[in-house]
Amino acid sequence: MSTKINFIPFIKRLSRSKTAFFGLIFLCFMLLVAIFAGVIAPYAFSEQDLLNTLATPSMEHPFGTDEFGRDVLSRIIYGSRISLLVGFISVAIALVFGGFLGAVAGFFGGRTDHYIMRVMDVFLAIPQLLFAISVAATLGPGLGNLMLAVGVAAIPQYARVVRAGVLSIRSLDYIEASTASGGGKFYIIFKHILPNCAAPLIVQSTLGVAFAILVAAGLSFIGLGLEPPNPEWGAMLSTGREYIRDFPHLTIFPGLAIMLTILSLNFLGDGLRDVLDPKLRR
Amino acid sequence: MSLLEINNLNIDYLTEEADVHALRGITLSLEKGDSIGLVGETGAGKTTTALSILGLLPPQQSAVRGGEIKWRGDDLLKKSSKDLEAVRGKEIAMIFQDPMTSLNPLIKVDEQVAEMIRLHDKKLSKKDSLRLALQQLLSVGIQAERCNEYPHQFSGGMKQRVVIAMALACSPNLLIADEPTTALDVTIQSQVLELMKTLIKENGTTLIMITHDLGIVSELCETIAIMYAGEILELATKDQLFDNPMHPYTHGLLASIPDVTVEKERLATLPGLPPEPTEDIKGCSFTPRCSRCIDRCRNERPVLSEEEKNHSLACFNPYRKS
Repeated sequence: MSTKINFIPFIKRLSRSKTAFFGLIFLCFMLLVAIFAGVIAPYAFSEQDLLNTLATPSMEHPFGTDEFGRDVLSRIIYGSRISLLVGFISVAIALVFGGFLGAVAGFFGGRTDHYIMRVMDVFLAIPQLLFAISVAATLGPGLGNLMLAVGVAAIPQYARVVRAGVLSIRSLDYIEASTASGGGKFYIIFKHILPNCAAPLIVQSTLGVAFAILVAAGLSFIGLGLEPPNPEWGAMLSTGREYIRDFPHLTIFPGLAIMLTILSLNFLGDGLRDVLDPKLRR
Repeated sequence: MSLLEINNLNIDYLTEEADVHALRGITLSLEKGDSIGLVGETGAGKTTTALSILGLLPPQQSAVRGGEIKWRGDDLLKKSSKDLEAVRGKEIAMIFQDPMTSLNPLIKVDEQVAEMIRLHDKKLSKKDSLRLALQQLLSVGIQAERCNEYPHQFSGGMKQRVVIAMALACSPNLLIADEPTTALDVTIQSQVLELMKTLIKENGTTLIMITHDLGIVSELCETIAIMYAGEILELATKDQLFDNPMHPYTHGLLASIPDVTVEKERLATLPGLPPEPTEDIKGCSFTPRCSRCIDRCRNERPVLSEEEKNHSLACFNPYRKS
């Protein structure tokens, strides 16, 4: 896209909405935490202190320790790497493939549309989590497979959203005008149609990142995600479930991490939608 | 060789129930520098003619039932879509009716014009194309400091100026304007028409103007084609058509223009409605509404033929001066 977004005014406009700004700040913070996890974390994520298991929060362990005496704060910090990675990469996979299929279906219509969308409908009929489970079970555990499973399972949704957007944009005059000025089919799709249906996609993607983090957590819980001792927020949450009555800090802190990340993604998504729509610019 | 030659073009729109005959044998020929106005009521086939020249008819919902559209001798209907892309915009450009929706809302206007230029000159750098775009926008009267803005910051008249700038960016040989001023108010209309007039004269562009406003064609066009039910009924130079309308339909059309100097209770109208577009018409399509209809009109279809110099007609019983 040749339309460059000037970064400074972009941030300015975004910061008009307090919630969006909070989302952006918190996500940047999480990104920094993920990148510098090795520097920030007080302990290694697999370092066990067997004399000090299930300790409540203290100066030494701000978020307490788990059943093996591992520092919860350090595990959350390292876990942010995995969650963010899985969230963004799997959405990127879904966006690229789903977006392409949806755009082709919507633009060419007719039989092409029919075949692509019926296949998508079949996949949509399978619950996304189940679909992810079956893909992950076929591929086996591991970070790459986890991302692939979550991403592939989300492709039909993105195809739907993109197709709906393309259908509504395709019939507008400036698309016809562009055809009349000699634009090729793919030029028109990428230059004129896709940027104009970006708004619903952005919202879908931010929600998608959030959902992907949840799906990844679910897969880890049943042993299809990352293998222990790798820290994963969802897996931490599900092991902490056993101790929820006596040691709630094992679920509260990973839960908070998931909640705040997802919340800020949603805030940011809404804020981005408002900013990226030039009609709302003042 | 004519620049554009349309021979007996028949186009149907396909619907579930029946085929809609949008064009029933249009024949038209344009030389370089001509300016022709297609005039007719809604559904007369004006826009269909324009879209078919550029190959923009919806592929699954329309069918060419015969005829040819020759551009410098090549039949455009037989060209591949790749070849058509090279003709569109570069040789034949089109201005659409509604400037509000003819521009991509996400791209700044100068970039949109530059895009158009780069589409047909791939070697041009982005910077050079932007410079050309700026020139182009200045020539349609947009101030330099506003060229870097988005379409929604422009008024309707300014947007139409941008659309005109885009259409003329590659100096096309033929410009098709599909009711370019209907969406604008009257004062802006005359400004835009004035602008088009100057630019067309400067560049020697051939023009096809589509409108239902006889006032607009009389300002911009030398030749006028009166269309009705997918046919051309009368084709004449502007002066001949206004001074000596020969077809009963043209007569009715001119009579229905209100004259501000005459006090009248009601405006003159033509009785009846245009024929159903799905109908197969044996004789002249205007028969049911025609006051001069004779027996021959019902059974035989009149063909557009030259009645006087530069004045063609499809009628068996036309009005004649004398």
